[in-house]
Amino acid sequence: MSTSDRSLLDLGIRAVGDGYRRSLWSPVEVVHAALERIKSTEPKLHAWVLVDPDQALRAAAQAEHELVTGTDRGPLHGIPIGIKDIFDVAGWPTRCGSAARDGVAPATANAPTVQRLIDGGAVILGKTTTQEFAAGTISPPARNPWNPSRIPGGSSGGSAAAVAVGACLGAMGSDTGGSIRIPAAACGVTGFKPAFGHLAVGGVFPLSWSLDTVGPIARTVDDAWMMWKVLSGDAGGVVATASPDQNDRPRRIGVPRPFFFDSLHPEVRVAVETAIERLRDAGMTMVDTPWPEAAAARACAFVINRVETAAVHEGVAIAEPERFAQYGADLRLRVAAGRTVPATLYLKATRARAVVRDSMARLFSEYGIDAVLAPTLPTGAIDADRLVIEGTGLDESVGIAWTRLTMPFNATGQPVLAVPCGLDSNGLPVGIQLAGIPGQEAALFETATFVERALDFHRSYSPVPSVETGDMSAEATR
Amino acid sequence: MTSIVGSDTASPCDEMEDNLSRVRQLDPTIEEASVRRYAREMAEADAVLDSVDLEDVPLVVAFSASWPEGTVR
Repeated sequence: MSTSDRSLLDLGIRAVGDGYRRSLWSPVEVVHAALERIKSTEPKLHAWVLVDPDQALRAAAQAEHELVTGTDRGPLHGIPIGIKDIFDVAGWPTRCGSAARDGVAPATANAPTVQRLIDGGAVILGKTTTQEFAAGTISPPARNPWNPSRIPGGSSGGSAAAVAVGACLGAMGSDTGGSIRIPAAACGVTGFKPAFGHLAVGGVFPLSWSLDTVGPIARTVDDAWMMWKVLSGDAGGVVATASPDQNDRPRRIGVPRPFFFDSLHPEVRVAVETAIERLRDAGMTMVDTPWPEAAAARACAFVINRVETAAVHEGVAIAEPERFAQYGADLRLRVAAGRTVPATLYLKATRARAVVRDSMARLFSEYGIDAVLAPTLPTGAIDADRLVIEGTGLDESVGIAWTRLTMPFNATGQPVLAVPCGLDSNGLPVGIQLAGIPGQEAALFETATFVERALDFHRSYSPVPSVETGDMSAEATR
Repeated sequence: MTSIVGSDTASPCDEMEDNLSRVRQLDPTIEEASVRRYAREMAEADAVLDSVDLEDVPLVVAFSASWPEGTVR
């Protein structure tokens, strides 16, 4: 290997793949480095619930053999990937982060999205920590790589934490109320929630079937783009999947005040407003685009989410009370109380959803924007031992506060990319989300590439030293 | 607004008791305060949804993320 493990794992999917094809390093070497990174960071992060080094190294050897013998499966060939533990991976149990699933039989087939990754040559390292049944934003016992006393967000917290430290170059998450974007923001990485219905959710334990989406978490927009191309079946085995930055036309970005800018922690507000100024300085046109239906969008997603979660788990609660008793207290409440929500309210939410979707479409049309930009979270990552929201001026639980800005886009169903935009004074990442037009994902990735370049987060900061040295101050490395 | 225990509208005590009873059928350990908080959050969402004009929305909506004709440039 001609470069250190640290820099190799920080290169990104495209550069690592280029190195394979130029014989600078091999899939076995990169997977070995990733496994070493897991070993060195896992005592503090708890980002993985299952790692299978033997299987991963066998898959890496196979990927290496294929490349040498002329078979190239595309941009993820030989790339180490983690899978959130609500996805079925053949041969491994899908425990969903729940004691109620201890002893569950191994899955007999891969979820379709996992199968696409494997068919695309990805090396599956193992399964990452999730909030119980993906219903929440804490993801215990996983911790935040920027400061392991803080939560990584959730529910795909293990995936985001693992990606942030280079333990894998990409990971799968799910997003029903923000569960890809929230941990991406808290851990300073990129997360993509595809449009509702775009990727198959088969083989993924449901949370709320009308809202569930699955998608990639990766270090950079380009990494997420390559995962997206493979997941959407659009890579076609082409190695040189073009970078999503080929179009230089100026972008118009909508800023949907006031809803998304109310009740933010002051440091988040400063970081996001600074990012907006930097984007303006970089040549983007930033347009105030009030979206009066934002609160209704959030309310739609909230009601649908809570009722359908109760419906998913009601059978266990009624027929298997001993197993239900093994659920965590938060989820037991959601299931039991969710049954008391009037059916008329659920139906009102499903009807209102069409209204808020169409209002978002009109917003794009009337203002001629390429994307809307909003903060992803109202606060930085909070203390794992003190799950309290402070500094927003609202009396909210973590679950309510941390989904307040993400849920509206689950209601609209549009594609959303979450990218980091800076650090707060505690050295914790602050993120923004860019929501685009359904069916125009490539344009959204192009816009996000411009944004990422202007904000220049990934080339400036890394959480790895704070995790590997135990430096809890999480001072950024520049 | 749909009548929900814990909302700003006056709700009979027996409705709260009924809901608490239903919740505790599944989990006798759940605290009343948690149920009230859940109900309050749901009532707040209900109140927001009352601001949405549903007059022209069909009763049955099969959701698609696709946008209406003419809104995509």
